Amino acid sequence: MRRKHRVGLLIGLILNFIAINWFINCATASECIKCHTDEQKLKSITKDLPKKEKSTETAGKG
Amino acid sequence: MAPVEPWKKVLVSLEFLDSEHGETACKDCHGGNPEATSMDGAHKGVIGDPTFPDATAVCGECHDDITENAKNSLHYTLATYKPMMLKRASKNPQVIEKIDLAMKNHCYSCHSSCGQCHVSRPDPVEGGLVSGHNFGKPNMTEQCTACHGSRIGNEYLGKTGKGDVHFTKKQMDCTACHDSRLHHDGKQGLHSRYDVDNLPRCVTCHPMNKGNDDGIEQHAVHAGKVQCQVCHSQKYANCSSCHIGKDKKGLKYFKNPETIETLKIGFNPRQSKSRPEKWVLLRRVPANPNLFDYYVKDALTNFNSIPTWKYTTPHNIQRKTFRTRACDNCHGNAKLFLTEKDVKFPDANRAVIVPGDKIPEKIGKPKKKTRKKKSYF
Repeated sequence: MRRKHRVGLLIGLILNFIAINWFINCATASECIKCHTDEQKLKSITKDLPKKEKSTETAGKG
Repeated sequence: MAPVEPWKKVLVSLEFLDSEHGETACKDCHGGNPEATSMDGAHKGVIGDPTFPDATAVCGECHDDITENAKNSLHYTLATYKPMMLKRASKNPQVIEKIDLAMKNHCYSCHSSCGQCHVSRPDPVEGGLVSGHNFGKPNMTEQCTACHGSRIGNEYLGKTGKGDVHFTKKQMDCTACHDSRLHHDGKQGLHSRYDVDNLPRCVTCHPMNKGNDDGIEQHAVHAGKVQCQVCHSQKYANCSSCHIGKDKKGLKYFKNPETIETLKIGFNPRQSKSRPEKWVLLRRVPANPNLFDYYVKDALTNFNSIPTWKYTTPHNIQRKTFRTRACDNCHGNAKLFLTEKDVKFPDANRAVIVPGDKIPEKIGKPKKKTRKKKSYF
């Protein structure tokens, strides 16, 4: 293989690697999903959250 | 419908992260600060539903044709509520201001959005992701009947009555008839939800039952004059006397204690080229002159300007009902018709009440046996 082809192939591989990582990072690099995909963690956080209060005067169907 | 547990409301599935929508960074739609080290810091500026009141920024990049219309659809705007209420209301601007406040507090919270139909439960039922943030066709129980449940959902699913044959025999969900064209319709200036384009019609799927060629005499006789549901639906829920206000703690409440199951035939208040039938079913709505008393007295001084018994299309269809058995189960049967003694506000309902002498006379013959060509159910 000629040298310029090898360089081209190498650059292509590098660009491909960067693109794949960029797409993966879009979803996974976010710290948000560390909590929001962890059922146990969410359970422990939400167990202490105050419940939304509703009026006891509501009567009948809406 | 049981509420979703708080942790489950915000639990994102790994499957979602592999989906096309999951390729978008959370922050791009929901804001917030993913680099923050505390929960409060991370959630600062977070938008739970980035598709309301306008989804064009987040959904529009790919679905621009849908979001442009959807943001003006009735699920977003509830645009027909206010004009209807203003017809009954006093013309005093101060009173109208109070009505606006009351409707803002109690009525307009019942909207929906792209996200609340395709991703989460709607806000009025306290939200919560339906399928780990996966996007999809609206789920009948989690999304559609979560709001449209106390009448339509209960009747369609058979929680009251025998259910609707389209569900009990064919398991059709809401979107089988109420498709996306209808829900994404952004037509302006509507007076009623029945003015939305692409509403489902029975004859779309049952063209043979237009009255010409299915061999059923009753269809030939009644087509174009009697709404299909008059013969083919069961009793349905009728509300009344809604009152709204805030309790001592400032929490909003409503009171709508009296709901009755009945079926009443009356004159069509919405007779038009697309709904030409003279005889239709009517449903009592909970409007009453004291509705806004908590906010302002004597708000609805023109209460009688429109009926409290409205055109309705119950979702509890059966092929055979009491009324399909014999002509005189309807003809001459005054109990089925909306008469003055049935209504609390006769002056409001003059246009739909059937006077005694207008009730179709008894025919006096048994139902003729007909040749059955084809049955869908």
